[in-house]
Amino acid sequence: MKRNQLYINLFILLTILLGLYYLFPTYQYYQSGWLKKDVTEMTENELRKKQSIESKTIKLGLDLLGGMHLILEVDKSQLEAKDAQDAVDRALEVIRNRIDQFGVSEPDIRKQGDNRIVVELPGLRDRERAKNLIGSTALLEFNLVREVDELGAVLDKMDLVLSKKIRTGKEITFKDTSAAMQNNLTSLIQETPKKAVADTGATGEKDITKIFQGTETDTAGGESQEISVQKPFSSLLVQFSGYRRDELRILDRNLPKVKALLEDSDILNTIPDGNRFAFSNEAEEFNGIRYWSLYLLKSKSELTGAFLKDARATVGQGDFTANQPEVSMELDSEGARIFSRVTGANIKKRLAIVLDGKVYSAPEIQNKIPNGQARITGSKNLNEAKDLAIVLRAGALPAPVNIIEERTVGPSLGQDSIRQGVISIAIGFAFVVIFMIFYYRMSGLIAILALGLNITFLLAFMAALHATLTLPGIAGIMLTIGMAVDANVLIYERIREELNAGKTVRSAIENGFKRVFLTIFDSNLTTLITAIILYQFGTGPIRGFAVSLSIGLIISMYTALVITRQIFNLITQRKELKTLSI
Amino acid sequence: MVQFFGQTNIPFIKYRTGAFIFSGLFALIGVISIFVRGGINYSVDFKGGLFLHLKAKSQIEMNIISYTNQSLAREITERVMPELEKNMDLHVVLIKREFDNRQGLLKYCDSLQIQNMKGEFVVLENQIIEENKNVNEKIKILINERNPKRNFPKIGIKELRNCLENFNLKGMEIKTLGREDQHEYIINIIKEETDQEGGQQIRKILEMQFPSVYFEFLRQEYVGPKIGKQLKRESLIAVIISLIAIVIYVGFRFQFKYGLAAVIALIHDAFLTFAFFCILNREISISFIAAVLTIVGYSLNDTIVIFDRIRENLRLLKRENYENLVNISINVTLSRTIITALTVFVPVVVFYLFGGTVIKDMALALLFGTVIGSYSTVFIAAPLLVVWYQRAQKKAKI
Repeated sequence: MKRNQLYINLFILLTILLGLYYLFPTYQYYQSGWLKKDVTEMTENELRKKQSIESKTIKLGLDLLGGMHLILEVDKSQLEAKDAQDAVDRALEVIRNRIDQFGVSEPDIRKQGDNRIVVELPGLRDRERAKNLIGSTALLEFNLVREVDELGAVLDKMDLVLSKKIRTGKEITFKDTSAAMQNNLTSLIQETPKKAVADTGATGEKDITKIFQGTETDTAGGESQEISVQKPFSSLLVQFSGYRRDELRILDRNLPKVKALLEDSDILNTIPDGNRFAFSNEAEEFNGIRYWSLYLLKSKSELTGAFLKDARATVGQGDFTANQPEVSMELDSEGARIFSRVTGANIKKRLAIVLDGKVYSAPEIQNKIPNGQARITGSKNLNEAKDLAIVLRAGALPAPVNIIEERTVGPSLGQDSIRQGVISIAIGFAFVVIFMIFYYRMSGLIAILALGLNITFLLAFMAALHATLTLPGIAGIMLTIGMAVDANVLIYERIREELNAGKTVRSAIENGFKRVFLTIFDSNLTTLITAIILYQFGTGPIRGFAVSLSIGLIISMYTALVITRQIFNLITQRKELKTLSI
Repeated sequence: MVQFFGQTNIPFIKYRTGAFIFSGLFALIGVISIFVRGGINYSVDFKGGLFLHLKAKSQIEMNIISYTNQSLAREITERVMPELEKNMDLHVVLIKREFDNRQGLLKYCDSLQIQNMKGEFVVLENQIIEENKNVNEKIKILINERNPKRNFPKIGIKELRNCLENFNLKGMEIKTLGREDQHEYIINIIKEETDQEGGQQIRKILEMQFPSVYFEFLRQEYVGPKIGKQLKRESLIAVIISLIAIVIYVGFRFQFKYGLAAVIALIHDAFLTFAFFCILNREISISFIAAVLTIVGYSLNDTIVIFDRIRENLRLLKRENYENLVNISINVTLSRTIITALTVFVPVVVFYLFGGTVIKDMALALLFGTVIGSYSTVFIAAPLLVVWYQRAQKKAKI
């Protein structure tokens, strides 16, 4: 018996020491103030130390630390069956590469289900930047721009088809999958125009009359513009004198209309095979007029980003691009060979640099480029150029991804939540301490000691597992504390019952623990079962709750049934107590 | 020995009809309130859409002009500014202008009509704070004098609504969070086909309409319609599976009907908490689900404790009739039930009062749930056992 006791004591001591040992890195980590510092500001020594203990601490969830949580869905609809199979894994790899180069500490990127990727970026500040970095497909293509006469012919044909449609009032079906709206044109044209509807893209119903109601006479840069039913498509374009004519310009406010028209199946049919239209990546300004460029490109690209060896953000050296951030790219040997051939064969033609279907620039080929060097200009700032370079280096996603869920928490809200959470827990805990000591006296104190150990173990466990503490997780801890107190209350009430029945102190304690064992075991185990099921089937915040609850339940059984009991054993084994402070 | 009450003998089981009626009525009112309000008030978590939590702050522009060293700039960025922002609810736009030679600095000073420039200056909305001595104090005094709160442009829920209504954002709901003068708002756009970029649009609109106000976006959430539906389904599956697991475990440890009674009590708790939220027209969000799960866990614990006592008494008090036996079991564990409820309830109250805005709804659900959890054990789960027992007895007699 005595020997047995000794082992139990040693075991308890060992668990306490272990608890403190596992808790120490977390203490160190949050004391150091590393969280508030930017990674770039740290010394190498600090950084090394931080990384070495990071995996041994309790992680704070995004809701507490601030940061970004994204769920991406890989759009496999355009892929062939054999590519679709591992598309998600490849996309995940690409995204991981991008984020690693972006430099977020402890990102969490994982697959969810068949075609989803969860990305968690704790402590992230610049939300838009991260979203662009992760969400862009980054398919880089080099396409030849069609020349003026080809473009003119296509435009004429488009005007012809469109004007005929409007005259005959033929129903137009749009090739829009969401809601193909059919409209009787003639009746709608006779209605008085109200105001320009700019949100045709958003609602999914694209009706052609709305598009024309909004058309106003645009005179810009000198040349007046002909607006007529004869040339409905051309009338949406602007021309600036002195500009090249192998690209089209569209006023900012007309963009949705043109986009809608270019989705119409009849109009699409007028574009000869092997050609496609592409817009510029951003609106430009000329004399205070915002406009977009539209290019007719050869569909088949000459070269893609797959031939890229390297991409770096640099500052431009040329006359027009001096001090402008840009991305300089280096092609691999095969890419350089193709590039040299293409440029050699198409001197004086324009080669468009197309990223995700948008034309970034379309310089004229001056002479053959043999060394495989190319540049992308038009980045707004150096950060944007840097991100573009990262994205290009990491490679294109095998398929486009859609953001289907986003949760961003600002850092200040997280700090508030932590502070308020800590205050609440402190006050709640203080109440429990006072109440227990008031109600159970000496035994209450023992219960509080057990409770303190309970919390220590819980946190130590979470640190050892490198688990994440979320706001619902704090609620889980509260429930655990409640259940731990309950275990002690159960025991004490039982002991009181036994004492009231006239038992001696020692046997009352003995019986109390013995009889309560099953109660605590059953109630904790049922709750544990639900917690585990929640972890299995729940998502995000609920999982955080389930983790802290499950760990807490196991620990509270240990503290109540082993530690508390052992303390009582220690008290009673020395001498026979006549009364018990309970 | 402090004791709230000695041995009680309250005939809890006798009150069962009243309790059943009360619970039924409460649930009924909840259901009616759903119909009156035209549906369940789901949050974006379940319905899909946009959720924005933002805080409007007054904004101050501060120029730091220096050419010699970086100490002033660093002190301002690292110490003065965060302190100001925190204490005065300000947003400071810091513009650092550094010159590597005196000429450039002087030229710039001339353009601002600053004379006798010596070293480093801070310019706060065109008012100059001289030299590097006690810049900290001077800035504070100056900002205090000018009282940015008083100059805060009139922005409130009305102005926000007016501003955003023009943009025809369907299904939009704007609410104040906390006190009016804290300028914290929640914008919800619950619509199945919300544009993912909607948050960005709103941000741009607000920045354009209120140029002198800084909007801090504390939380921004977008949930696609598919995710919402999936979440709803997954939560439901998780709950159903855990209920089945409880029936099986309790059925195995006790008897099948104990498992069933426990589960009915849990469904009772979950549904009444849900009804409570519907009556108050609070949002059903993912944190509400977490709260309900907590309640279920707590209530289950409570129920098992009493069932355990019944199980034990079945062995000890073989002569007692079943109704009395259950009643005795409830009474002997009553002090424990109340003490535990109290030690859980008080911390939850504290959480509700001090836990902050984010957790308030969750704490409210927990508040209701801890009470209903204890109630259901005594007045629903245990009486159900008696009702079923008596029915079985009657059948046996016939």
